[in-house]
Amino acid sequence: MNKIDRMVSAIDPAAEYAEPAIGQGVQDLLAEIVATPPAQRRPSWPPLRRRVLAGVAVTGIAAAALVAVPLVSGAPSAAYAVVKNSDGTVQVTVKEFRDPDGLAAKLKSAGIVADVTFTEADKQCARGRFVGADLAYDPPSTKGMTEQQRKEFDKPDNWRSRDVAAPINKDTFVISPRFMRPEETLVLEFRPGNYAGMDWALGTYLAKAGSPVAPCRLVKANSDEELAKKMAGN
Amino acid sequence: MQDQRVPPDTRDRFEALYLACYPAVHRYAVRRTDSVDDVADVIAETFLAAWRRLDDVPEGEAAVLWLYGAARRVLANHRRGESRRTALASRLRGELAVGQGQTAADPRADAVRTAFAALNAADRDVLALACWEELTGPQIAKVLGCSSTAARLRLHRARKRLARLLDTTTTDEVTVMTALRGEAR
Repeated sequence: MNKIDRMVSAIDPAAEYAEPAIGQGVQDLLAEIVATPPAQRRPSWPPLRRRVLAGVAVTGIAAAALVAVPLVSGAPSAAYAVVKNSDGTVQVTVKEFRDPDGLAAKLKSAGIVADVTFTEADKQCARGRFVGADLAYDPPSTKGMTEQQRKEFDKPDNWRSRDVAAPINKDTFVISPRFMRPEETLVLEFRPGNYAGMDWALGTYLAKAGSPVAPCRLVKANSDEELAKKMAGN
Repeated sequence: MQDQRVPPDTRDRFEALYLACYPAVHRYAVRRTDSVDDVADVIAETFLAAWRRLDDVPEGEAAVLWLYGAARRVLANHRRGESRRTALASRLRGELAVGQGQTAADPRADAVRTAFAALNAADRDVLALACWEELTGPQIAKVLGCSSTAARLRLHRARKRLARLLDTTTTDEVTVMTALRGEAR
């Protein structure tokens, strides 16, 4: 093996890997898989139409407080904090799901044009509020695509909205404006999760330059559990 | 609870594949994802794809190559945000959380890691298959779905690009000079 290969082998992330025991979890997964009918022949996974960042921490944002409760002292406690970092990124901590306009204003003063919505756990915004700046908001089906079309589809530029926001921990995410183009709007749709282990879900999208963002029309949220089951083919 | 339409030998065949290839798929996922949740999801979705298309999965040694190809597609979908946490594998996730070790800091390895991370995705892809999964050119070709020649060429180019980033010739010279200086004393 040549020197380069040796060097790459040396950084194998699974170097400390111990052969996993075929424990109960592995057996459980096997049982779950074979319980789904194999007869469904799908050429590709059904692509989920929206990308959400899911906060999977045990403790989450207090989602019950959709109505602001003023403190006795008179100063409203901040539901969120927005910090502009020296590298141009903007860090956002959301403690409560309230005051979306205030958060949008704060983001605006940090240089980011944003549209913020908080919904309840069982509601989400209907699609079609705006024209997506890339493919992530409403990706076309890849079924029947030629190789050339597929190559075009896969270009990173078509998915840059997925890099605009990234979660850091259970109540904080960071926005990287360098993935935004002038006149685009960052659309943030927050809601508490509705499945065990998922405390909040955040949809981050980019509206095309010049596309207005229509008000959120509430529809029943996809059950996170339902989505998971759909993927399992039930 | 078993579906009446499933012939028993299909189930047996899948179970044999699953038990034989689970460690390899696990390793593949660990090498390419950051979180325990992602590892569990990749394993679950890869084997689910194999279960659904069992007729397409070849026999013998080529089976694991098929699984690597499926895992690769699953990871690509994850990166595009097309996938979400799956309800499958919830217990698996809990078990995986135990035993995520830390490797000791090593500046030389860190330099290689940084250079590796600076490569484009296609280069990393092919180098990982060659050096971590230890696949041959023809085997890599099966995973990527290209010809053996194309796979060998991609591997050759990726090695060259990484070598340039690491500037290995300079490193060699420095090593030699240091040894000479040591001897002079």
